[in-house]
Amino acid sequence: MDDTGPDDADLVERAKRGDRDAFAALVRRYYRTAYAAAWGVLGRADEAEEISQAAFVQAWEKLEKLRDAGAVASWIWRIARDTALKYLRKHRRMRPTASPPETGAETSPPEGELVRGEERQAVLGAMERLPEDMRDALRMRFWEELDYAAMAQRTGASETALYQRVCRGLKKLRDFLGEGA
Amino acid sequence: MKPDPGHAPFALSAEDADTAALLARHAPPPADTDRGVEAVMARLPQAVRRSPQGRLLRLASPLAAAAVIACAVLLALWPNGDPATSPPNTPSAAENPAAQPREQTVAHFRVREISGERVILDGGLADGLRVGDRLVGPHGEALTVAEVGVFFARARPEEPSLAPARGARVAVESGSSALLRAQDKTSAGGDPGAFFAFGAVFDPLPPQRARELGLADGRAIVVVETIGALAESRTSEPKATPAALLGLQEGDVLLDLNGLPVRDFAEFVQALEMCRRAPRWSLRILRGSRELTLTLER
Repeated sequence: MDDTGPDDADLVERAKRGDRDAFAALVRRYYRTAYAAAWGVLGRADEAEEISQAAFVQAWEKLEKLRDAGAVASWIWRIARDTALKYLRKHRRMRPTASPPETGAETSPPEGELVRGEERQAVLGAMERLPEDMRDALRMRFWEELDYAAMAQRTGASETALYQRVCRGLKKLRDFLGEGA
Repeated sequence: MKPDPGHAPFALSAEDADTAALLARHAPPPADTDRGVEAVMARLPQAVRRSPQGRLLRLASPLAAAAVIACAVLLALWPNGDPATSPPNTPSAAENPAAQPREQTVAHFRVREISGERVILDGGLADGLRVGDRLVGPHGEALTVAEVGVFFARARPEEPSLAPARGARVAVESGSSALLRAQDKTSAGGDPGAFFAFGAVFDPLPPQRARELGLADGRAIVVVETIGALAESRTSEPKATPAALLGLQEGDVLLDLNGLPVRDFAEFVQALEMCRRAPRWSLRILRGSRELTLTLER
């Protein structure tokens, strides 16, 4: 991700005035953030793409409500996640598993797929239970693969504080996953 | 945890590194950012955004206004599309019970594993299942749901020797309330009360009822079902839910949680998240016409 160039506050202010190029820059900067949030709920790449796009359209409509331009990443994350939750509720789809698509024949999914699907559900469920700052830190570090400098630039927190959130988040994740063992 | 000065800064312990690797293994597949940006920007002109002065864009002329209204009427009357290709939040035929004969709508689950005397299914509270629901295996094996979690359920075969195999598809018994819940897209299981294991299912309160109750904002959510206990994992015993511990009842209208307004599902999700670590929950509700505060020490 390219973090050079205008900072978030600058882009947000320009987008609020109707600058579509500024908004496009924000979309490019945080598309993976929205995607990760949506995917965490839906577990399907095609739906996550669709929800991510819908989330940014909502963000465009609600830009005036964003008071703290420095928190745009978390704000986008919340919009994408809420949109994904509403979509999941409305379409009443089962939480995705490793099961193959429905066919007429009665087939059993390979054991490896079932285990991986279970593990993914457990990991995603545990991530949802984390405090927001820890979840954001883990997501940025291990899903968006940002280094601590980029994370600090995005959040305004120090690299050391972010490192501590990552370590505490990993421990909490282990605790949650251990509950299901 | 401070980085060891003898090693690279921000190094992880072996245990943390293992957990990080597990998390990375389940990272989302790569997003197509270029296409995503293009798609977002292409959709923007169709969206109406408030100007910095807070005014909606005005239509150029009354003729344009009439055209918009006509389009809206036409879209409302147009047949619903294929749910597989409909964009999010677009009603589809599969969601409208009136558009699909009930006997053709069947809820299915798969057997995830057999654990002792229990058959573990890949659906749970969030999919409409409740303790006591009956399901049928591919060869007529009868199951009864014994415990539920949010996304899984444990069922007991009525004949211990006749349990469906792992991976088998089981169907909700025709005509059962579980089937009706699965068909009903607007309530029962698919909302934050289920997702976050709160233990209550909500519906939006009808606006007229909100007015009768004197709710200034005219919006609220009402409890339509409470779930007394949920299993947190496939192998754990069910525990009392927060809703049960608070003493929430069907018909209760939520007002706020620890002072945070709860007027719709989104605010409920937000309030749950913000109060996640609070040592005490105070849930203000309306029960009939009485305002009560339910509390829970956590």
